[in-house]
Order: sequence, then structure tokens, then C-alpha cells
Amino acid sequence: MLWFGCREADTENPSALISYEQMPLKSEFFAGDSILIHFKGNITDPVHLVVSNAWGSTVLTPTWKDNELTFRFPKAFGQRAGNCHWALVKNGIIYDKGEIFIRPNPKKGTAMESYLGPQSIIAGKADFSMFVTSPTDIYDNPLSDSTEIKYYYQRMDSAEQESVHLKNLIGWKNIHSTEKSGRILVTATCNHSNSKELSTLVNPANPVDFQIAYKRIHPYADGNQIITFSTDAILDEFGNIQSDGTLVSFSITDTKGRVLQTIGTTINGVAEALLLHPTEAETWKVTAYITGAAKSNTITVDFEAALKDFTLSLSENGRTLNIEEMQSFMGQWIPDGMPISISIHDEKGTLLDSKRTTSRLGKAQFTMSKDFYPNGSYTLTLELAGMNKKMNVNLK
Amino acid sequence: MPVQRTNILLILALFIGVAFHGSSIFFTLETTYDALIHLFFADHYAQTWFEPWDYRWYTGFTVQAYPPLVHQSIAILSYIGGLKFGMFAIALLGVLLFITGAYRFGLLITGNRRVAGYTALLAVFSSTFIETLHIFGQLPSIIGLSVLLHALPEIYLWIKTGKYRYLATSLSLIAVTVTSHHVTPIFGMVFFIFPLIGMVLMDAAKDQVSTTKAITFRVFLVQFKKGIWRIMGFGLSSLVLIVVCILPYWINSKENPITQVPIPHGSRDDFLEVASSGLVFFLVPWGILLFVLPYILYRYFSKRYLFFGLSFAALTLLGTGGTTPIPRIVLGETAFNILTLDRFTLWATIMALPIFGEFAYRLVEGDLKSYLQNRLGPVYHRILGGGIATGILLMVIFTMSLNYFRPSQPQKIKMLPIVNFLNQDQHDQWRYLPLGFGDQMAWLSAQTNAMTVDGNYHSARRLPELTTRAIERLENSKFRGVEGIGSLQQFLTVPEKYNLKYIFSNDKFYDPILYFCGWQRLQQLENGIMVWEKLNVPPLPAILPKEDVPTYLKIMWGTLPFLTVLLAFLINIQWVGYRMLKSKPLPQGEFLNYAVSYNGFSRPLVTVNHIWAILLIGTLGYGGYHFYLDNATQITPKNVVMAYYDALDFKEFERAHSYLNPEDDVSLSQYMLEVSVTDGILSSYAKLDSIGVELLGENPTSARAKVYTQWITPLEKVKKTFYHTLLKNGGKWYIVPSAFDNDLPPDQLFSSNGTAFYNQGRRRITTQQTHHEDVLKQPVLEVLQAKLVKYQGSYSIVGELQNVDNIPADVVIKATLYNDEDNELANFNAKYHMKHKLMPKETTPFRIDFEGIAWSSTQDTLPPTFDPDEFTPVALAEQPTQFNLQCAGNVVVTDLYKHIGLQDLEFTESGMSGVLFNSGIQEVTVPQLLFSYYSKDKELLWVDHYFLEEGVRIQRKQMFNYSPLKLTDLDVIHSSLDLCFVNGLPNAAITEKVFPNRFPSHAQEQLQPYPGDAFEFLKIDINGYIGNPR
Repeated sequence: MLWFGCREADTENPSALISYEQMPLKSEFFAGDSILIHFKGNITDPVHLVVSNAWGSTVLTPTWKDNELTFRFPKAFGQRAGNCHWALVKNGIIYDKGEIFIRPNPKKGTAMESYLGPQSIIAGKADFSMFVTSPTDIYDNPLSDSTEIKYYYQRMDSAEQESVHLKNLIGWKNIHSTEKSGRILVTATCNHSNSKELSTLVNPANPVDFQIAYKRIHPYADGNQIITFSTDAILDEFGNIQSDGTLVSFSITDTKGRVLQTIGTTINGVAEALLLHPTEAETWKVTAYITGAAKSNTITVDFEAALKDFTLSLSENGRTLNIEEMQSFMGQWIPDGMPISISIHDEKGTLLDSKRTTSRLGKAQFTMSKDFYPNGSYTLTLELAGMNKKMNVNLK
Repeated sequence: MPVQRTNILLILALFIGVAFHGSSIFFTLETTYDALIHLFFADHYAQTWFEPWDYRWYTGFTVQAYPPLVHQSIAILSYIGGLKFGMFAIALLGVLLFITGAYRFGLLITGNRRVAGYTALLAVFSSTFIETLHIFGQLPSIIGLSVLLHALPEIYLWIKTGKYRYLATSLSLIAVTVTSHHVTPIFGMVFFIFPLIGMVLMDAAKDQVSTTKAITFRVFLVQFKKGIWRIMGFGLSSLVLIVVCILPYWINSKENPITQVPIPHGSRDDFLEVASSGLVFFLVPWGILLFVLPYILYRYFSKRYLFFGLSFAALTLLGTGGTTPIPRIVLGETAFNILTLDRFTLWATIMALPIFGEFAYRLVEGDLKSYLQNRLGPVYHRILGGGIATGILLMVIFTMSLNYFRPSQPQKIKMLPIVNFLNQDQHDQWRYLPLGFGDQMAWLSAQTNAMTVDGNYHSARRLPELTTRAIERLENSKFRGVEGIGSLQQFLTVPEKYNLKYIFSNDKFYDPILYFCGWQRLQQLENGIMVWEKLNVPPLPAILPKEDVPTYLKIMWGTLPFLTVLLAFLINIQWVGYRMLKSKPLPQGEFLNYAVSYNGFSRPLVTVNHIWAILLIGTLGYGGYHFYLDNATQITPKNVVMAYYDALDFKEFERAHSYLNPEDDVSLSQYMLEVSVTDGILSSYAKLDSIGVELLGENPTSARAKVYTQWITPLEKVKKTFYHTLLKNGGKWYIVPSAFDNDLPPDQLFSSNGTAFYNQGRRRITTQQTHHEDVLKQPVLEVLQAKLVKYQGSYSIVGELQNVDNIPADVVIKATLYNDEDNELANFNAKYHMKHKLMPKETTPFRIDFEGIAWSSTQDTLPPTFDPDEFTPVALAEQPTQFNLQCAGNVVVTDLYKHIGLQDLEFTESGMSGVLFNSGIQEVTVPQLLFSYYSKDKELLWVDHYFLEEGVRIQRKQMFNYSPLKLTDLDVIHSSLDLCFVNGLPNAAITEKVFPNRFPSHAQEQLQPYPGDAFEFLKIDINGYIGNPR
């Protein structure tokens, strides 16, 4: 149509300066047919046929035989489906024009372009992937509207089949998610020609509330052993196990109201998270969250003090403080690394220094060297496993 | 006319020079500062001779910013034997030109062939030349200067005789000088040619009177008037040459004035204060010349050489850099900060060569020899001669070995794996950035067509992010502190702006900053270089901007340099032939008539020079003694502490162990064990910036020291105070080793389960675009909160985001600020106030600060020291009232370690303390805590970060202390999710579809109540960089 629009303003003179006769011409072809236009009559060179379709235009020169002209369409024009206009032109004057229609040619075979996306959707009713196909003939012409395409779906155990009809070059269908997580495979067939296999993953929906538990070697707060919190298999509302790697944060409130935390990621729906035992008697309230979506029950974990007592002794000059006999629940030495700190105040109560050390074989030691602590009396505050001991020393 | 004979000393000089320099350049030139830059330029010409625009550096720059002759010569030669062949060939040519140039300059000055021979021989061994060639690699400078030396006799003859032939030869040589190096002819005019003209006039004046003494100012003036036209003629023509030969250079300089802020250079230091600069830029180039300085000054200040004397004195003075205020006053602030002053020393020492040659001649076979032998005996003469010869040789060896003992460059890097990496899989569709490559980055650039944002010729920079910073290269930004790391961080945080996707890291110092800016390790190449990549960076557009120049300038630039060489060759070839082949006697240089006869060495001069030499030796000895005292490590408590930290900084643990009190019986193996198990930002990624020792109490045998240290880490500046007890034992001070953490993990062997991910990339091997079904879906994120806040005067966006997908996501957040009229004010990305890698359903707080380009206004003063986390808030013209958030998720499979727990939390007087526990099987090198502050209504107010200085080992604890901020100065300006987008989709749509039934209470229940200043709750998120993943 556009071609006509452009042409109309041109010098068109149909007055028969030359006489000719158009040989019978079909107005419909199939893509890939060879297309010839013949003219017969008193036509002299130079004469051309201008041919134009959706992809472009070209000028053809005829072959002569007696009084007959033959124009042969180039392959590219014969293979392109759609309208194809022609005009017989001599010296810039259009003598005749016409149009032929080329249909797609599925007889020679069909190729299938197919797309599926997104590649993952959420289990349930709402989410879907869109399957788009565009069957074409071997010349890449989309087939005619209302051509039937068969869609095949493999959803878990069930296979389904459905027909869609080509419209505006494509056929498409929304593939709705299933309640069960897994993979949906799709393919399409048209004119006995198949698409490749495409798939979309149905991921589990958001998790629902779950239960947690803990595991430990002993109930003592030795600051050394590890407690393991774990969830049961975390599911969504349809009973699907959460994707591996889903993050579960365990929030622990201790007796002082401090919020501790540890993190686990799920494997087969189960998340585990570890933490060290505290160093003093504690009651932990533990809740796990998949923030915004799911929450666990709250469990309470009690720890008994492992270190119940120890002995303190000062050297003769008061400059070495020995902490000894740090025994754990069976009388064994408390495991190495128990943190111990002292603060040293002078007589006026000013904090001079605070020192930290860790136990080794149930013992620890602080020294106050003569160079820094002149003779006199000091107050030492010792903190160990939640116990405070205050003492006055006289350094000599 | 006597038959001209080949000067045997010159032949000897050439022979030794070519053998010595010619063989050693293969071991030195590639590790010099500049040679590879010239190689890169040569590669540019070899590829596109006439096109001056090069896209490979600085997002595009023009090579018309540097005279092209040397580069083009290397390029021409590279067609025969490759770039390196070209470079070595030009270097050899430089050696030849320099030695012959020195000979001719010597002949010109002294008029004595024998002395000129000595000059040539000494030029071979002059430490200044060795340094310029073998340490600095300044090829164009060497070629330019050598050609200038060749031009000097011709100029003399032109002015003296007025024969046009000499004008032609001198101008042709000046033209070659101009096209090889622009600074040399300009300053050469002032410092070499002006005094030369003075000398010509002196000689002409002498012709009028009987003796030099009889030359008066009046006679001189008469000669000056006589010669004025010749001088003017030469001066104007050379000016024309200087302008025309490199016209494109001048036009480019005018159109793209160097906006670069001054980059500190050692030659501007106070040499007494910065001993290393003094060594490299003063002691080494002067070398043995220092000892004969009085003689040189005496000779140059004689009447004939008076103008040379002035020039020499000026050059010497200017070469002292910041040691005296004079250079700064003479040159003016601007020139002082732009010029590298070492070139003045270079010229001074080259100028001194003929006089040094004369001195050598007189010492070896002239009047000085007879004087010394008569007065002090032949033995002394031999000792003196031997001493000077030894001195020269020692200087040669010392200079040549500088790079060996204190390498200025990292180890040679094999570039092939990097080049292959860039060529494969369309990696060169993005820009790359090398880190820790030194000047070898130029060699990498020369071998690939891939582009980098960095570059190695800072005068040609255009990005304001670079021109406003006093850094040499991004690649070595750690050496330039605040400007360096700051500039690097801008590139790392907003890499999309520069299409920067790949980083080649040869220095693990930068690794933590890469990680916390959201980069991830891709692979380690065979040469040990770690490749880092950033997701969500678009590839380079097909058409890149360039600044075009008119075609005539391109043709001038491409042809003129070689034309000057051709012309000079044609004009000079006849005489060069005579000179070399002695086929026909050459016209005698007029200057030969003014040779002085060497009879009778000035007696007072001998005394003065002796005194000078003794003083010099004394000063050097005193300096050496002080050097020893400062470095005698265990003389005082302070020294031992300094030495201990120095050893730790350089990871010399055996030396550090030797400072520990031997009575405490810590064996080296025990110490090494303790040291090796501590990892973290301080012990693995920090550079000790400054250290201060305060002695809290000292008595003759013991002391307690408080050590203030400042460490530069890639992330921020760390200030840390340590306490040490020191003891004196057997005359030496020792450090009492500190107690070690006795903590024992419960399990010897244990297992850990986790989910690992793998991304196939392209499943189908194809060079085409990635197949549709191989393109992964972007993980869906949801913005939970976003607020524009103003805290302490600067604007930030804080918020919270969750990965609501079922796959791990890498998150990039870009925020844009708008005013009431919807005009954009600024945009920036989230840096390290967020976790960039999120597991499914993980949340992260984030904060985006809007960084400006530091010191973009010239009034801002540069901070004097190093501060990597120094922040330059963007200057906003108006008050921002709205914002837009663009978040992008991309599938990520690495850096997903989450096994860090928080326990033993206590509130202390100064804030809070707690313990991190690592329950997994990766050692966390740099743990990071993100503190989110919430209001009474549990609304997010602010996000702060805290890096732990030490890492958390497996199944171990690490303590931290944190002081929460005061938020009294915080205003929430705007809080909305309306303009938040995820992967280009509106956030609201995602909320509706993916998380319609969110429980907001979950997040609120996990908050930690804390009685803070203007906030009531805190939330702690933990992130950790793993230095050595296993």
C-alpha cells in the first residue's frame, strides 16, 4: 500500500504509446515458487520491472524471446511471504502495475522458534511462565494466522496437551505454576515439526512457621562446648521443602536481655546453627526467623555454671595473684581459655588498669610489677565466669 | 694543518660504553620507571600512526601530549623485531649519541681533543647518565639532550663565523631535539645555549684584545652588537622550530590544559629530611663530581666560561629541590609543583662533564700530576688517582644495583595469561584495572586492545576523579594514601560509570576493599594474578567518544618528526662521514683556537679542594654515624619498640623475635606459630603509617611503653594503642612478650554441611551472544524500608532490603537524589554499608552516602597525611527532598559464608562489647559488623559499620568493642518506597506478588533494645571477608 502511496505522484502515463498484452498471471503463490511475468507485444528496450515487497525493492531486466518479454523474480522475492508489488517501467513511465500475494509454504517443512520465561516461578496459583512459539516455514515466514500449534506440558507426573492457534505471527500460552515444586517441561509441535525442550522451575512458595530444637553435649556453661540449634524441615503452605540455602536466623535472648544471634542455611529444609556455651549460668530463649515469612516456636535452654569455685592466692609481696583450682563440673580443670579479668583501683578508687587473661590448665596469673605499681594498697576486682571477687592488697 | 687522527680515547669510550650499557640495558630497562610508558606510546604509533587518539588509557587520551620522535622510532623498529627490540635499539642509539655528544661538548668547551676524550670516557661512567638510563629509563630525555649536545658546536660556529651552513646544521639538530623531548630545548635554550652565546662573544672579544684579562665590558658589548643579528637569527628560527615541529602538542596543551593537581615527586623533597630522595636525586647523580665541585666552580667562573658558571650554579641550586626555599622562589609555586627538579641536576652534572674531563686530564697526565708529584710525592698522586677511580667505579656499581636491592617495581609479571583472559569470552568488551602492577601496567596495555580506566601518563588524564587527586596511578594508590585509596574507592563503588568489570590484582592489600565494595573473585590466572569481577556492569558502547583534531595536525604529527631526522641526516651526513672515516679533513672548529694551555695548576685551588673533600668525607661520615645510631635497634627502649614494629610491618618475624626478652623463653618456632595464626586486616592488609612511643615509666633496667600506631588499611585508617613492658638485659633493651590467648576449640576434627552453588555460564560453547535459555533470571529483591536522612550535615539514604528469591543474589543499589522540582542532584552506589551477597530470604541494611570528587574546588586544601576513609561529601546545590533507588540482583555463587555467630554481648560504659564466634570451616579474615539504629517505634534511622581489626579463626572467638553513635543530629527527610525499583520493576509490584503476607513483626522482634542517644534499638548484622577460601 505504501508503495502505491509513494508512486501515485509519479508521472504515470498509461496512454498506450506502446501496445502490449499481459500474459495470464496468477495472483497467488506459495513461498519458494518460481515467479515469472510475461508480456507480449510491441515493446522495445529499455524496459524494466520494478518489484517491491516488505523487505525492499529491485529492478528486473527481461529476457526476450520473439515478441515476448519474461521477467523472473529473484529467489529472495519469491521466498518472502506477503504482498509483492510490481510495475512495468520504461523511461520513467509506469505502463502497468499489479500485485501478487505470496503465502507461507509449510509444505516444505516447519521450523519452530520458542521461548519460555521466566525460568523460575513460585509454587501456587498465582505465578506463571509464558510460552511463546512462532512456527515458520523453511524460508522463515511465520505461518498463517489460526494455524494450529500443539503444546505439551509435563508437570511432575502428569502430561498434558493443548492446542493454540497462531495469531499475529505468534502462538502463546501462560503456563501456571503448580502447587508442588519441581520442574515443568514444555514443548510445542506444528505440522509435525517440534520445538526444543524448554523448562521452568517451580520454586517452593514462602515458608510457613516451623519448629526448632537444640542438641548439646552437656548442660554446663564451660564456654567451650558447642550447642547446635536446628529446625525441622521447613515447608511452604503446599508442603514443599524450602530451597537449599534459605537463611534462618536464630535470635537468642539471654537473662540480661541481650540479643545474641547465629545463622543457619537450610539443606533439605533443615537449618542448623551453632554457638558456644556461655561461660556462666544462663537461660537462653531461642526463636528462629525467616524474616517476614516464618517464625519458629520459642525454646528455652538452661545452662548450669560449670565453674563453681576457685582458689585465689597472693604471693608474699602481694605482686602476683594466682588463680588456681578452676574446676569444672566433674572436678576436671576448666577447659583452657576461660576469660578472666581484673581491674586495679588505687586507694582513692581510681581505675588504674584492667587486665585480661585466659586460663590454662585450670590456672591463671596476674603480676603487678614494681615498676608500675609502687608499694601501697590497692583494690583488685576479679571477674570470672560471672563471679566477682573483690580484695584489697598491700603491695610490698 | 695536522693530519686528523682518530681520538683513541673516544673510540675507547664508545667501545666500553656500548659494551657496558648495551649489555646491561637488557636487565635494567624493563624495570625502570618510564621505559615501558614509551613502549606503550610506541605501540600506539605502530598500530595507528596518524590517529592520535588512544582509547586504552584514561577512558581515552591523546598521544599528542608527548613529543613523538622516540615513540615513532621504536614503532618503526618494532615492525622489524617487535616493540622491545625497538626500545633496546633506541636505547643503544641513545648511548652512542650521548657519548659522542659529550665528546663534542667537551671539545667545544675546552678546545682540546685529549680533554674531550677524557670527557667522553667519564660520560660513560657518569652516575647521572646511568641513573637516567638504567633507573629512570627516560629515553626521550636522553636522546633530546644528546642531540642538543651535538648541536652546541654548530651553534657556536654559526655565531662565530656566520656561515649559513652552520646555521643549517644547528637548526636541523635543534629540530630533532624538539621532536624527541619538549622540555629539553626550552630549558636547553636557557641553560646551555645562552651561556654558549656568552662564550662565543667572549671568544670574539678576545680576538680583539691580547689576553682574556683585557676583555672589558665595553669590548664585550661591541661584540654583542656585532653578533646580535646572528644570535637573533638563530634564536628566532629555533623558536619557530620549537613551535612548528610539535605544533599539535602546543595546540593540545592549550585546548586541554593540564588540570592535574601536583603529584608529589621526590625531587621536590627536602633532601636532608627525606634521605632516600636526597640519595636518588642528589647524591647518586652528582656522585664523584661532588668532590671536585670547587674545581668545577673555579673553572666555570673564569672569564671565558662565566656564563656557563652562572648557568651551572643555577642548575645546581634548582636541583636541590625543597632543601632550600630558593628553587620554589625562583621557579614560582606553579612551575615548582609541575616540574620534576631532577632534570636540573641532570643538566648540571652533564654540564660539569667537560670540566671533570679536564680535571682528569690534568690529574692523569697534565700539570696537576706534576704539581702533586713534586709537592706531595708520586705515591700520594697514585693514591689520589686510585681513590678517584675507585670512587667512580663504586658509584657505577652502587647506581646499577639500586634497583636490585630496593626494587622500585614488583616482580616481573607474565602478561600472557592476562592477555589471553582479556581476549577470551569477550572480556575486552569491558574496561579492566590492574592493581599492584607498577609501571608494568604499560606493558600490559601495549599487548592488548582492551581498555583500562587507569594509565601511566598523568599529564594526559581527563577524568576529574583522577586529575583532582595527587596520585600517580590507581594501580599503586596505596602509596598515596587518602587521595589514592579514596580515588580507587570511587572507581570500585561506581564501576558502571566506567564500564569497569575486571580487576587484575597483584597485591592482596587491595582485596578487602574489593570485597566490601561488592566485587568477587573470579579465578586465579597461571601467573598468580587474581581476577576480580563486578556483576551488573554494562559492556562498553560500540562507539566511544573521542576528541578529534584536524587532519593537517594528524599529518604534521605523523610526518614532521621523521622529516626532521631525515633533514638532519642529509645536512650532517657529509661531515659525519668525514669525521668518522677521515676521508677528507674536516674544517677545524673555531673553538679549538681558544684552548687553554695547562701549565701551572692553581696552588690555592689544590688546598681549597682538599679542604672541601675532607669536609665532605667528614659530613658523610657523620651522617653515616647518625644513621647507625638511629638504626641501632636496642640502644634505648624507644629504639627497640620502633624496630619491633618495623620488623612486624615488613613481616620479618625472625628479626621481631630477636627483640623479645630471651629470658622469657619464647622459642622462634613458638613465636612464629603464634604470629602465623593471627590473621586480619591489621596483620595481613595493613601498612604501618606512623608510630609514636610514649614511655610511661622508665628506670635503668625496665620501662613500660605506650605505643600509638596508625595503620593504613585498604578500608580505613586504624589507630591502635599497644602497651609493652621493656627490660634491659646485658646492655640491650628487650620487649617482654605479651601473654597469648589460651583458648582451645572443643573439636579436633569436625564436619560442616552447606549448600554450594555453581553457575554454568554459557552451557553451549559459542562465540555468539549467550543463548536465551542460558541467561539466568535475575534474583528478585524487595526493598523493605528506604529513607532519606540528613546526619551531621550530609545526606544519606538508609534502608533495608531482602533477597526474596530462592537463589543467592549479588546486590547493587544505586540511589539518586532529587529536589522538589524533580531535578537530579547527585547519585551514588552503596559502598560497604551493606552485605552485597545475600542468601535466599536474607536481609541487609544499607546506607548510601553521596560522595563528591575530592578537592574539586581548588580552594580546598589537601590534607597533609594519609586517611583512606576520608570522605568528601558531594556539594549539593539544593536541598534534596526525594530519592530514587535502583536495585539490581544478579545470581552469585561465591562469598556466601554465613557461619559467624554473635554472643557474650555486654553493655559497657563506653558502649558494648561482644564476641564473634566462627562455627564454620572458613577463616574469616576481616569481620564486619553493620549496626542499624532504630527509633522508639522501631523505625530505621541510621546504619553504621565497624571493621574488626583481627580475623576470627575456625571454631574460635574474637572480641569486639563498639561505641554507638549519638543520633541527636539526625533528621529523616523523606521516607518512601514509591520510587524504589528492583531489576527495573517497581518494588510495590514485587511486594504484592512475592510477599503479600509479610510479617513486619519478625524484623522488629529481633532488635536489641539499647538506651542510646536519640535511638532505642539496635540491630547487628555480620559480614566477613575470607582472605583465603578453601
